[in-house]
Amino acid sequence: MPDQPSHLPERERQPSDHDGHDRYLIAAFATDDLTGAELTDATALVARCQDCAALLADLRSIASATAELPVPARTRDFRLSEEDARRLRPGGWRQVVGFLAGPRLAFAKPLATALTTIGLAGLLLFSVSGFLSFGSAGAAPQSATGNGASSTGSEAAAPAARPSAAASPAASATGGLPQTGAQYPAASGAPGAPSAAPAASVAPVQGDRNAASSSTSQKSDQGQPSPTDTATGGSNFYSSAAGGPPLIVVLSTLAIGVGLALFAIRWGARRLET
Amino acid sequence: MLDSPGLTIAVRRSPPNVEDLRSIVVDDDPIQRRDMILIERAKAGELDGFNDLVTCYQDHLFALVARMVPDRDQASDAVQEAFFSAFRNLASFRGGSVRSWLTRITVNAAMDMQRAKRRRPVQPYPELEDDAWQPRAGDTHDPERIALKTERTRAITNALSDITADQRTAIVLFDVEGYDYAEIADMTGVSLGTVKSRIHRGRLAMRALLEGRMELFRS
Repeated sequence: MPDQPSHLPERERQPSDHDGHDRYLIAAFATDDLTGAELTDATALVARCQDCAALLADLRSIASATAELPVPARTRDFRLSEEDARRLRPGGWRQVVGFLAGPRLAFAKPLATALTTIGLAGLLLFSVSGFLSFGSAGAAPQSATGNGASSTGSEAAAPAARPSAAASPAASATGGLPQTGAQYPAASGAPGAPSAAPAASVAPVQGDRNAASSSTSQKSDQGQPSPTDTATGGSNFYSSAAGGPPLIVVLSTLAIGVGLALFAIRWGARRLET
Repeated sequence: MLDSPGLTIAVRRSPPNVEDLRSIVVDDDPIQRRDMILIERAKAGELDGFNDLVTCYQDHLFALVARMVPDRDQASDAVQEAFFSAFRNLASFRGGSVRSWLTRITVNAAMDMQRAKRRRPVQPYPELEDDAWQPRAGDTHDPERIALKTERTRAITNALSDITADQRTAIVLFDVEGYDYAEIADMTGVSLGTVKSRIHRGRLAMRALLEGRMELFRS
């Protein structure tokens, strides 16, 4: 039993449940860290458990003996020579490193954290919006193709889809034919099919968004109100008319890049400085 | 009572500014004043100013590190590295206690040294065998007491060398150097709770290591 007080005679030792007692509480008591209920508990524990009392005394003895350790004498003079000073004086790249690692750029870390977080959030937002629009595109063919195509759709959804289908010649043209989302841009871009309804229900996949946007702009030129105007007005941020990556992806990637670069510069400078 | 002049004075007196108090304390402390003068000289490029600072603190800092790092050569290297680092970073000193600033740098250097040398265990505290460890002034010359003290020192230093470096650092700073929890947390870069935990666990570990030799400390 490790905490059995060996200095006590055998007859004075009492069997106790010391093993279940909180030694860290006693250790905290030994450094006078306890207050309130913990102090009361520790005092009661020490009063009723001899092993805990012995532990407390031992810990205090150890602390006292540690404080009385002899003072080690140095065997070297640590003063700097002129050569040391010349080598250590900041100059050239050290000056740059000192500036980068110094307190003047202390804001770099929180800024880097913020930029990285914003970038990640932007990418996440883009992914989620893509996922959601993909989900809505899955429902779109059913509404656009009317009740004939909604073999798997609910009956409640079919009446709601009819007005839009009726307002759209393209939708009428494709009525009764089950189509995939990928077929819509071609349908909406076809001559004599100027309806925006397909375009509105398209844009499920990223690759189709450009087609949807161009289709929408054609409709706008013709002065026809399009349901996609609203949608594309907000989705310019999520898509690129030039065929490149969407703006949000570019900005998010840029933010992440700058944030990580700031992290790396600060970390590297601090490492070099030490 | 309310019209008493004393109360009027008490009410009109504005509370002291913390910054003012700090500057008063700093100005009143001759050691701090001396240190600030040396720091300014060193910042101006005067090597002698920095070396005077080294002379003032090298004994204290070596004694601190020698207890943290169980090898005298490593301890010396850590202290030298700390002074190099202090010289390099003179420009980043923003006031406050020079002693605390140097101690923080030295503790960090010692901790880095311990991390770097963790894979290479050394004979702990070989200097105990020679005269480098100076007895404290006022020790009795009673041979029995000297022998007991030597045994205690040996037992404690061996136990200290066997606990973890983090626990040893916290215990040395707390028990030997007398820093409080907040100062140790600041120096070692951990939370207050972690400092307390390291001290408590370290003491319990030392007690377990000294299990068979506790008689030395109970007399």
